[in-house]
Amino acid sequence: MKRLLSAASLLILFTINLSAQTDGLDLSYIENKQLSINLTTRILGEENETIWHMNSSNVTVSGEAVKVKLTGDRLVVIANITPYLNSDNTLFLVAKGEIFMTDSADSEEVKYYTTLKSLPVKVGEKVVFFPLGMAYDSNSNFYSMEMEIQVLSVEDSGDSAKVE
Amino acid sequence: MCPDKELISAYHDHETDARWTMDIKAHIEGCEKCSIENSKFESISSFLQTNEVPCEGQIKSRIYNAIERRQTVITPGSIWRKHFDVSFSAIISAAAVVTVICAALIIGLMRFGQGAAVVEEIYPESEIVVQVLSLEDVAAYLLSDDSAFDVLITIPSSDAFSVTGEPQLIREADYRRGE
Repeated sequence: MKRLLSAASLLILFTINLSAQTDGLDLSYIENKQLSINLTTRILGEENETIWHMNSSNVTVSGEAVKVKLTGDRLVVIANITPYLNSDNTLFLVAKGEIFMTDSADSEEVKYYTTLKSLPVKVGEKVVFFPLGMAYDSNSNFYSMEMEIQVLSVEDSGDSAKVE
Repeated sequence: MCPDKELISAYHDHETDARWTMDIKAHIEGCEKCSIENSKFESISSFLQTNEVPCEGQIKSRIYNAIERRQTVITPGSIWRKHFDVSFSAIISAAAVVTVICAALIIGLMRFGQGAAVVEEIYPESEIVVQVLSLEDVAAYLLSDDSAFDVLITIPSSDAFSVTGEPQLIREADYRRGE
């Protein structure tokens, strides 16, 4: 009789445990794949000097993009930066850029550019993404934009990040 | 030696192989007893092949009466009057199984209800009408969902931005070295 009651109790507990496991998400997969992306966006002037910059930091996981949107008067830049963490602790960084641009404020024509670039990098190594292209000609009167990207592994779920 | 009745029956039904068929046929032709047995099978076959089986009216009524008696004997309540010997442990285990199944069903129904509520919350029934007059409006509409972005930056106003070549992704060390 005792054995029977024990078996019944175990069966009930097993059922309750099964339902409790599916209550929350299984986060074990991303436990060691948390990454922090430090981003410094710079606008460079005609002499390649930095005339404006902004820093940001986002925590993500391997394979999940950090989506950045830069909005100007007649320019919108969307950059999706996706780090993929390899088994040897190196990274494969993918940057997707989309640009919507008009020639002037009253222009009816919207130009659209898109690009997808990738680069194998080490954790902590800095890379630079030029969504508008690289302005080599110092005599040009155009501003250029660069996004300095640094991917770090996150030691815990907080904001602290470490360079390996 | 005479073959048994089953073998003669099989011979009559053409179920014996060719070797046996010839032997049995030769035996039946020479054996009076087996010839009579074979004739009985033939008469039964011919009787069964007739379209109508003779049946007297009295026999029919007896059959119908028997069917009616059987129908009146089988009543729905009779099974509840049967006596079953069931042990107490079996009752307890059956109760435990029923309890577990009921609990699982209740949990499942509650979850299904929650899931349906979430689906309704995420995908509310609504009609979306977008008024666009130009390509700029299309771009503005496509870019209006700022909640999808992790970082939103407003860059300084300037007309000096332009696409100056192929977008690049390079290591900073290589970039600084080239300066």
